[in-house]
Amino acid sequence: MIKRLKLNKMRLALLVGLPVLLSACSDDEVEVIREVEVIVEVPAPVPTPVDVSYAVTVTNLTNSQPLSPVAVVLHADGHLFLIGEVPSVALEQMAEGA
Amino acid sequence: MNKLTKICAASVLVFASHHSFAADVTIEIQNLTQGMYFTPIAAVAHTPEASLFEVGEEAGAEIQEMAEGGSLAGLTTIATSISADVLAEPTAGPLGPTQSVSGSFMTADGNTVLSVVAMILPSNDGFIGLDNWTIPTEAGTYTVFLNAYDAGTEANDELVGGGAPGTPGMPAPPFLTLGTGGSGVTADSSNTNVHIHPGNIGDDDAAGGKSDVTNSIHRWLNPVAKVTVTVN
Repeated sequence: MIKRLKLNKMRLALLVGLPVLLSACSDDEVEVIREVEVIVEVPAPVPTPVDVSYAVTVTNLTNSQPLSPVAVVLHADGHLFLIGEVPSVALEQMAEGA
Repeated sequence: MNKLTKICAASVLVFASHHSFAADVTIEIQNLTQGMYFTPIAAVAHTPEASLFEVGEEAGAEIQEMAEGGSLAGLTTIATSISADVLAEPTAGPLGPTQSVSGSFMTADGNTVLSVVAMILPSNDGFIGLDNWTIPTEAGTYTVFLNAYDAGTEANDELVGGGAPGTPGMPAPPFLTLGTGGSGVTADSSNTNVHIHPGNIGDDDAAGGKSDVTNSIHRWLNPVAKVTVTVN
């Protein structure tokens, strides 16, 4: 027996195949083999904006090289620096004078 | 009588294969340095809660004896106590420059992270280290490059000495060509945590100078080892 449940206009979220084998134990045995496939579709969740907080730990792994105060910046666009490119004045000030 | 009432037992085939974290893993380790050697390597799969060492924190006594003298005795004891899967001593002898060694093991359920350590020679307390790297569950080949760390347990005097914890100097097995009569690069061990190894300084005076290691052979830059992990 195969039963399918379908709901349109919704995103496929879960697919469950469930073959079930049932066997009897007595002499006048009855064997029931049933295969059930159920497709459950649920609405796509609407993402809601969330505020995320990060805990950032910076560990100095050098032998004895101090680090100046660390800048941790979360940003969507742009770069503080690019390897192989000319640095900004702001980066120069950080790298030369912390 | 309802037929179903006669059914007294049922066997149910689980429809989704039970996800097992056990993995058939092959590990290859290659020495990438110019002239450094690795002592026998411990590759250990264990639970994420355990850790052989933590970069930025003090080394345990077992890491110290590995980093100063190449001994895996203490680490093997730890591995046994945490039911780790151990690929201990995959090489019987030292692993020289360009050389590789490999081995395979089946990791147990729950042993989902990999740690790799071995002393680097010549050094006072240097070791290659991989700390709790998550073994991918997807079959494939993965490459990890390892840094050389300083255990922070001994001053890097770079002089021929001993490998036992508390004994200054470097172990000097016969396969190493080392100088003699150095005055010592430093007597200080200012950073007592596991940290990025500052490297050998060396000199070009085999019969004196500051160091008993040779600056044209025994220096290195990270990374120093390539670990290729194949999840079968």
